[in-house]
Amino acid sequence: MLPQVGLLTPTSKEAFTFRAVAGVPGGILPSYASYVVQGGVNLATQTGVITKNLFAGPPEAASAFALPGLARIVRVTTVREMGSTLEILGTVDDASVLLKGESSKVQIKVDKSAGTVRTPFIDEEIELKLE
Amino acid sequence: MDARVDITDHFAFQKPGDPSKSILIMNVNPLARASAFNPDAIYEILIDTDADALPNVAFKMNFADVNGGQLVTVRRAADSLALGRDLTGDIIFQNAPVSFTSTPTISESGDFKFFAGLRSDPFFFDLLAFLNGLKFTTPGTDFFIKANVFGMALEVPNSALGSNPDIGVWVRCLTPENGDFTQVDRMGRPAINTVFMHGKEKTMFNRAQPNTDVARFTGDIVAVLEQFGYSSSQAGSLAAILLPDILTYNFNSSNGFLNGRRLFDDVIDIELGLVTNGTITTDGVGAHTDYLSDFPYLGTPH
Repeated sequence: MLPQVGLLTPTSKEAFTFRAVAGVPGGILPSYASYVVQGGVNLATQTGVITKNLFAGPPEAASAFALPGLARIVRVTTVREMGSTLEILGTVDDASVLLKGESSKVQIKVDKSAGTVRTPFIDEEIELKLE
Repeated sequence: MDARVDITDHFAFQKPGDPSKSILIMNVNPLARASAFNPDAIYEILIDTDADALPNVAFKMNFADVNGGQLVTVRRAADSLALGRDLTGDIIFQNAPVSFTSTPTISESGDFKFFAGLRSDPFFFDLLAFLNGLKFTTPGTDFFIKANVFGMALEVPNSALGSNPDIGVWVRCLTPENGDFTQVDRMGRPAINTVFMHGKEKTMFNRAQPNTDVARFTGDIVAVLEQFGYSSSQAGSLAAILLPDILTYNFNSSNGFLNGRRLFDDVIDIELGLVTNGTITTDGVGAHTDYLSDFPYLGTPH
């Protein structure tokens, strides 16, 4: 099973950690893998680290095995808070892991009230559920 | 799932150049994450000779850890013994060596040949495009082009598969649980579980026997097919072909999928066209070029 991290948990006045999951592919077909975005940001310092991984297995039965070549470590460069929403901007510093056409710049939108996270998966933004 | 008993694919085809024999291959351990076969498990290749979706012949393989390596024993069980979740049957190979290097060690016993060990994964598929919402391109990117698996390959005389050339083949892995052996994974045709089973149905499907497939899983298949535009009637007819999840194979024919499955058969293209009602006909990748021309046919590991 995947390690559990709290739902957008305030760890201090300015710091937040979160974990969000989406099954892929979405839509008609059953999920084959679980796209997991998790990490922490500090609103005061505009810093943090967020990881993106694709684990084998659907969300309800995800394994701890991350499919190779798809892990991303995002260094947070900007955090904007707008009501219940956080807009997080960051950079994948290790350009060698990027797929052809994949940008090193990453945007992650956390909607606390909706319990969702939106961020690109491969080349299209998808919605993940906060856990 | 334990990668050691996680089935990636299986294949059944007439031996090239010798129509009196067949090649049966069972691959496990996707991306070769584990370093050895599970010595507590039973790996089985099952043969249905009378179309009742129950095994009449079973090839059972179990491994032992020995001096940092592994040895494997292969049995052939027939009739009622084929149904058992145990290590009954006649021993064909005892303590055959398992290959963990690039050179395959092949064991021979009468008309049988056997190999077990690390090999190049023969499967080809643009997995990322699939995960990205079936956004396939031409050409695609083969996620498995440099992947390895653990393979078990058997060359058998067709006489060991029964007298009726029209057989069904599937594979399964059993592991000990509460003093008995439990089926934890199985596969007949490629990707049936991946494409049609949602959520907990995946585990139920892996643990079920093919002779219960029609009653238990027709609804799952029909539901997916209807969303791709099939009418209920059409979806039902297709489900009746796809279930039970057994690979049909006539050992007198050298044809490939849907007659058995050869390493280079583009099963994904065939199934994409079928499932999507012709909307998508290819994933844009083709067969690997590293298959061997002789036993064990699986390519040299990367």
